[in-house]
Amino acid sequence: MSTTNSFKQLMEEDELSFPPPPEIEEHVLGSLQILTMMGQAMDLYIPKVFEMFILTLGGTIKELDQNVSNELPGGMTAPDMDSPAPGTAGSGEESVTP
Amino acid sequence: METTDISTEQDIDVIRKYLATKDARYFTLLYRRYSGKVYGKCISLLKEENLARDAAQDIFMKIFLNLGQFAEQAKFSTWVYSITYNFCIDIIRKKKKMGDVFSDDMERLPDLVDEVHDEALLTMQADRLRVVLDKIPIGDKAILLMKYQDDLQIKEIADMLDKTESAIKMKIKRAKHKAQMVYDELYPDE
Repeated sequence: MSTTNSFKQLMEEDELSFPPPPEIEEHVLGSLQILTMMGQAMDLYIPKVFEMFILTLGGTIKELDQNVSNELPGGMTAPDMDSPAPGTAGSGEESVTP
Repeated sequence: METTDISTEQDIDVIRKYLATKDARYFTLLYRRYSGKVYGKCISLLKEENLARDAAQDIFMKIFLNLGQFAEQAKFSTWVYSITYNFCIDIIRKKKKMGDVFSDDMERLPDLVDEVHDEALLTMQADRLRVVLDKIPIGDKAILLMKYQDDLQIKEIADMLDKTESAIKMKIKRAKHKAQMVYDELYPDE
C-alpha cells in the first residue's frame, strides 16, 4: 500500500495557502460569548419575569408561594388569610357552585 | 479555575467539558483545531474567499448551537466535515439553481467495465489533481474528497448524504472514472 496521497497533500496546501482570516474567529467567539451571556441572563431573569407578570395581574408573590405550598389532595386549597385581589388565584370565587 | 493543560485532550473530552461548564476556552480550542480544515474545504468547494469566510462563520455557529446534539457514535471530525460539506453544497446548489448534486442521473450511464484503481488517483501530482477535481461535477469532487481526503467510511458518507451504501460505492466508482477521463484528456502524454 502506497503512503502517497495527493488528496491529503492538497488539503495541507490549502490550509497553508488559505489560513482562516482572524475575523472569523472574532465573529464566532464574539457571538459565542454574547449567546452564553444571554443564556445566563435568561436563567437568572426568567423567574423574575413570571413574578412580574403575576404582580401585574394583581397577585402577590407571597400568595403564589402559599397557593403552591397549601394545595391539598383532592383539589382543595387551604383557607387563605390574606385578602387577594378579586379574580386572582386563591380568592375563593371559583369554588362557588350553584 | 482549572489549571490543567486542555490542549492535549481528546475532542470528546473537550466537548463534554464545554457542555458541562460553558467555558469559552473549550470551544475556542475546538475552533482552533478545526478552523483551518473547515476554511480550507470551504475555499476548495466554493472557490471564493468572501463566500468561504461567511460559510466558515456560519458552519462554526451551527456547530456551536448543535454541540449538545452531537451523537457520540461518530467522531467529532466526521460530524464537523459532514456539516461543512452539506453547508457548502447547499450554497452551491442555491447559487447555481441546481437540484441534488448527488442525484442518481449518473445511473443512466452504462456500467463501467474497468475500475480505476485508488493508486491512480492517490499518486497523481497534486497540482494536476487540483485541476482535475475542478473540472469534474461538484458532487463527484465532494465525494472523492470525503473518501480520500477525510478518510470517511462508506457508511458515514451514506448517512451524511442520506443514500444507501451501494449507491455511494457506485458514485465513488463513477467519480473516479470521470476524474481519470478528465486527467487523460488534459494530460494525454502521461
